[in-house]
Amino acid sequence: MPFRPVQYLRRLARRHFAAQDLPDAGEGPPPADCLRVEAEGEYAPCRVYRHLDDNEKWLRSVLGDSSDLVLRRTQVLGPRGAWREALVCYMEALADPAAVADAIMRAVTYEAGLLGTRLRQLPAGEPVLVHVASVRWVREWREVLHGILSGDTALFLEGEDRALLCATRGFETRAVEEPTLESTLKGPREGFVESIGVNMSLLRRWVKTPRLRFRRLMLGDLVNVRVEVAYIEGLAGRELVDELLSRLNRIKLEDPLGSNAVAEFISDTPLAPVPLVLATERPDRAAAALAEGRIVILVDNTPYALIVPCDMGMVLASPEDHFVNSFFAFLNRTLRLLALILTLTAPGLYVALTTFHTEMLPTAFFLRLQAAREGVPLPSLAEAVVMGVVFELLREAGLRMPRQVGQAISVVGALVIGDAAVRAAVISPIMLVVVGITAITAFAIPGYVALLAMWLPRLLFTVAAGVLGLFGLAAAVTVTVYYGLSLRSFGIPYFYPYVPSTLSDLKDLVFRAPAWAMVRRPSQLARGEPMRMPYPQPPAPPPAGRRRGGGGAPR
Amino acid sequence: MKGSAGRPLPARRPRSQISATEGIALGTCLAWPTAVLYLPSVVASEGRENGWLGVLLGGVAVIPITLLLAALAGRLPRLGLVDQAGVALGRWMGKVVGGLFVLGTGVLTIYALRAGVEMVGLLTLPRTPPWVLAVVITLQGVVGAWFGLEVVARAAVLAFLSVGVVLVFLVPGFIPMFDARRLFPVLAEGPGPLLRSAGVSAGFWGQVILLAMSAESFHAPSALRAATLGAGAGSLLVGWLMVVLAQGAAGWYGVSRFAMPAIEVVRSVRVLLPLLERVDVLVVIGWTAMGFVQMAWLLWACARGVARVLGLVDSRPLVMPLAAVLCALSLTNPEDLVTLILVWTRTVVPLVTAGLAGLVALVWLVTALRDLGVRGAGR
Repeated sequence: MPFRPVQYLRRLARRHFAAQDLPDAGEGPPPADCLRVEAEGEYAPCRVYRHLDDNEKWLRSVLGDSSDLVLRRTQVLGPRGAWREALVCYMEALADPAAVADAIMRAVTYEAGLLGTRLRQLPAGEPVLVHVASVRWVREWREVLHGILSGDTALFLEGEDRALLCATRGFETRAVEEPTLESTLKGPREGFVESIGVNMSLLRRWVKTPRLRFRRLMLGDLVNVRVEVAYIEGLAGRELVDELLSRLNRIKLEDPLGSNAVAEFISDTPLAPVPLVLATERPDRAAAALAEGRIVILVDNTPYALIVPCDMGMVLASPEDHFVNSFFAFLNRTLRLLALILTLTAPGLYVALTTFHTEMLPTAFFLRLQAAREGVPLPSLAEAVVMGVVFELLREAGLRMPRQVGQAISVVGALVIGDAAVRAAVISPIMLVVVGITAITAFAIPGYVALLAMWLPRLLFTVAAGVLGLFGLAAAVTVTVYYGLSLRSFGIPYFYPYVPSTLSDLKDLVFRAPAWAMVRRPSQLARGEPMRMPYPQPPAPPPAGRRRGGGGAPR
Repeated sequence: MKGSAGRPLPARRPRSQISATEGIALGTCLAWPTAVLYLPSVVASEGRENGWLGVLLGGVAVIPITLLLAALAGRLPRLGLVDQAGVALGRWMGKVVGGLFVLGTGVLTIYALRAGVEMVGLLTLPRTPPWVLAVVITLQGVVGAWFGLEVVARAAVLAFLSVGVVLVFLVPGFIPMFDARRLFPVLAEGPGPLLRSAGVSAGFWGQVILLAMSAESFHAPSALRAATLGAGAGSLLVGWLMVVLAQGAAGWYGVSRFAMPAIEVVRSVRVLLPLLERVDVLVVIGWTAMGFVQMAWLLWACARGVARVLGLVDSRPLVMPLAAVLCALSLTNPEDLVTLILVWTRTVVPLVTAGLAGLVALVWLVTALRDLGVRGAGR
């Protein structure tokens, strides 16, 4: 790493002032600036004080006079029957008041008194009794504050330079519901929710292996967003995990952080108009990605999981494919591929054929086309571009409106505007057909982001076809393919598994092989453990004579 | 491994890696687009009834080229031809030989570009000025070359789909008119026509020698060997099929009358009659996809070669200026298509290809005589 003198001096100065500003435990409250968390550990850790007065003062100075802040002094009976001063702190809006009252307040005072004799036998490291399943001692204010702001209750004891963080989160979360954008007919109906804890449990339920690892990171200096990086040890490449963690650790942000912002921070090509980090709301899809050696990123307050590396095969795949017969999956995927080609090129083909290559069309058909276009003031290119924009407007408006109004907008767009425009000879009827084909084929492609990503290349292809016919269209497609081929997601070529590809990769591309035949994992991933199963396991029914009931009919 | 006079080998930057499959696609892109259009006419006029046999005979040229490239890459692995020449012949002679190789590549680029412009202009956009088409083809090639060899090689794999499209429309068009008797008798006029057609076609298949420029990007010398052999065989197979079908359908005389007999035949195809009157435009567009990749590859090879001759690590800044020069030169070629094809197919391609093969052979010979590089590597 090259030596950078200015940054070195800056870091030195920061350390110097940090050392001055952050006193040891027992001294006066430090400034709020000590809450800044640096991944490199440039600041000295700011620890909990031994005296309750200092702790209370510190908490009040940092959290202010927020109306939902609860700070309550109480007496705690500890080992050897000694009563000690204690301070309970939680946020009323986030913690469950009943849990705080029963599991902590009642336990530390009333029940501890009843069990005083037994409490004397508690080890010295456990000087308090609480009825909470998840407790942990923390020493740094950073952890204490994050716990309190996440709904935990912090219990401070006089003379202890640490706090007991009790899990009392009680705020309302949305129940697990069916995914809205990635719904399936036969697949599971569970989708991720905003609570990261629930999302982790959903993943754990799908991937019941002790090798599943979660790495926690706190991102955003101001808002401290919790991010969990999930991967299967040994399957996900070590370099891949390290690269992702280093990209995440580089994020310095003061604003709230959603999964999309995280994706933009870690993307290989941030301005790419295609998703290089896949967002999914399906736990089964995230689990399947984990089993392939990919990494899943969960961001708190976001009902999506991010998957890296992401390739075009993932973007074009539907979760439904793995819940139907492989033959039907093949048909569906073929249709989607055809839909992709059509939605990208249909307007361009129309423009090219009606403008440059009219000799390709049968004469009678061409004459009917010309008759239909009679009186239309716009050339084909302008017609296609305008209708493309109108279609995108209707789609966007339909999404923003409530469901009932959205349907009305669709009807207005499809019938009223289209019909009126044709009657007024603003556009030709065939153009409506082309726009309709474009729209239907676009919606056949799974994933809302993929739908958005089609817009720009479609416009480019249409304009190119309007300028140089099919030749221009071919040139624009080629350049777009070059660009797509140059993209990578965490080192994996974006066009993988189309190119580069191996024979085993082709088993889950357009044609989906039966589950028993997909022996290998994707060749670009999980290189340490490339095999899903030791050998193909085709179903092998017993011979006819050994079947129950004596086998089949005699021949 | 050390270079001549004990100098270390030239510094290399991290480079892209391409597989044997991608190399085959890349090599096929070099010979196939031009061979499928113009070769039937040329070998028919040179070899008469023997043309289809001469194509096969010319394909033998791929074998020594494959062996030559593999042997050189085995001795001096992970180096392009210019660097290999520098190691074998010394700094300045290496630059001269490398420069000659780049010059040959440039000449092929110029003619390929002009042929593409003429073909597209004639068949799909007759009212568009040639310079517009030349600029568009060049610009897309610049984009591909800018992204690098890895991207171009993978685009070549995808362009294989266009081969399928072209064959789907071409082969059914020929079959109803096919008569095997038109392919015989062979050797009726002695071996002369056969050898002439073999010589012409050897020039087409021998264009895989240009893979020497990208030898540094292959995983291993064996991958280069597989790519060269596969590309030569693939191009040969498709080209031979086109020649056989064209001569069987129209006879050698009929084929030799047209500049692009394949397109003339496909005009009679009526498989999509209710929807499309003419499918030859689709064939041209399918062909264009591979032609585009060919142009991107050639521009990359020129830029890479010039960069190595000048001792530059990054060839990307050279892509645009070189492309502009080559594009301008391509427009100064013969005015009419017939003259262009005659000059190109009978003179430029065979001579340039033979010259490039000779340069590679020279480098390998010196390397072997001086016992440079890694002995036994890549075998």
